Amino acid sequence: MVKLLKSKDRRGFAILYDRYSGALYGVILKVVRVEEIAQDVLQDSFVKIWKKVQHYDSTKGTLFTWILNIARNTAIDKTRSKAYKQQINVLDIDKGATVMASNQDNKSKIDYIGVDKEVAKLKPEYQQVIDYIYFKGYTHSEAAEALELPLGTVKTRVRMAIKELRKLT
Amino acid sequence: MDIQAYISSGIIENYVLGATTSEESAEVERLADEYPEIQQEIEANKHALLAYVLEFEQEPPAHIRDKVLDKLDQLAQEDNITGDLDDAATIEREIAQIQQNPVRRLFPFKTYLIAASFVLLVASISANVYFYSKWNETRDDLRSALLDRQVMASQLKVKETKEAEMGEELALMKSPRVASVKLTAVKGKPICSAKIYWDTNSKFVYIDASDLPEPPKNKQYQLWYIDGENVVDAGVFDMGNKAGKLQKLKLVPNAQAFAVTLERYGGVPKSEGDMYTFGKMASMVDNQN
Repeated sequence: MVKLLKSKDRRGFAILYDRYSGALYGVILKVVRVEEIAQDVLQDSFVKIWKKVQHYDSTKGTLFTWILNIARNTAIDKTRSKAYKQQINVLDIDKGATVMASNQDNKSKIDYIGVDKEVAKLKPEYQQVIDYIYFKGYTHSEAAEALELPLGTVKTRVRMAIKELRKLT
Repeated sequence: MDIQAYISSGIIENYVLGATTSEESAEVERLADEYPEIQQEIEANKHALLAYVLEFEQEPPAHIRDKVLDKLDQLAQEDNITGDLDDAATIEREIAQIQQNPVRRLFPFKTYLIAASFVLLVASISANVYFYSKWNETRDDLRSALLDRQVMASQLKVKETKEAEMGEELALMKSPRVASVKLTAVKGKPICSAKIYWDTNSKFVYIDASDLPEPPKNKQYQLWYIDGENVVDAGVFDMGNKAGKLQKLKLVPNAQAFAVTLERYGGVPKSEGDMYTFGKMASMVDNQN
């Protein structure tokens, strides 16, 4: 598989897409929160995978972890761009104005919102730190500030969150 | 070095979450090479995080696949890709060159023996190269097969959980001790409805809110029950992805009717917002199905 990708074979990338696009798209969507932006980021991620696959080193981790990190980093970079912040603002205003006015095409509006699937098993305060640290790429102190928590609490929760996840798997 | 202290310092969790600096990451990787316990800890944490990440899995719209692959085709044309240098043909050509040169120079003396040993050496090297690359390929395939299995197991788990949830919902809806009430839109509100399931045994009330419009961000719907003269809070509920599921709300000891209003996020003790839907309980006899 890796060899097929390194030779930039189209079939290799088609297989890669078929196997992992769902997982990558889920992560990207979790980060950027808007479907149409997520679709662009998914494409950008595959372009990056295509360009960087020569440097992939299978001794340092699995292919899946590697492409997942590319997708996540591409998505996080996107959320830091000016264009993204503007787009998000426009969509938010849009949503507030139209959702209450009509429920006719309620379903299509949900596309813009529907990101947070239920992950009932992990406690909300743990989901929150993973959201900020892993999906949004915040540092501990940025997360502490955003959540209005002491830095020490954030650090403890990160540790506990992973511990909980290990119990759940 | 105290490995246990290092493991419990939290650095490995942060490494797995990608929250370490590049110096810290390098240190973790170096120690992982040295201490199997640390390597194990990393693997276990990665595995757990991966399973969590996979819970968010969502298929992109079908047309994106072509868009992405077309884009890669376009890049391939721009770069005029001819394939990896390490591919089989190149290796064979190189081997052929090695075989030609030294043999010709050593020919024709009593050096047959040397020539033969060179040929053997080259054959052995090329066999090594060949088997090494085969071995690498097999190892990669095995890794990706193992990973696929892990991915599939996680997917299955998610599906099983969903199925179990649906089974529970269905059982609740069909239970003879559960009364259902349809709340319909009140005058002046958009067409919407909600369905209440009230377990007459446990007295818990559940709501199916899939036909309510999505509220603004700072607002939340709240359910009320009417018992005689009293209008009592029966809890707030979420929309978005949760709207389609039955949500368990508060205990309702006795009620003749239910109503849904839109309130401040988190709910209020006494209704302040607009009423959206309302429905009366049928008599208990009618509720036996």
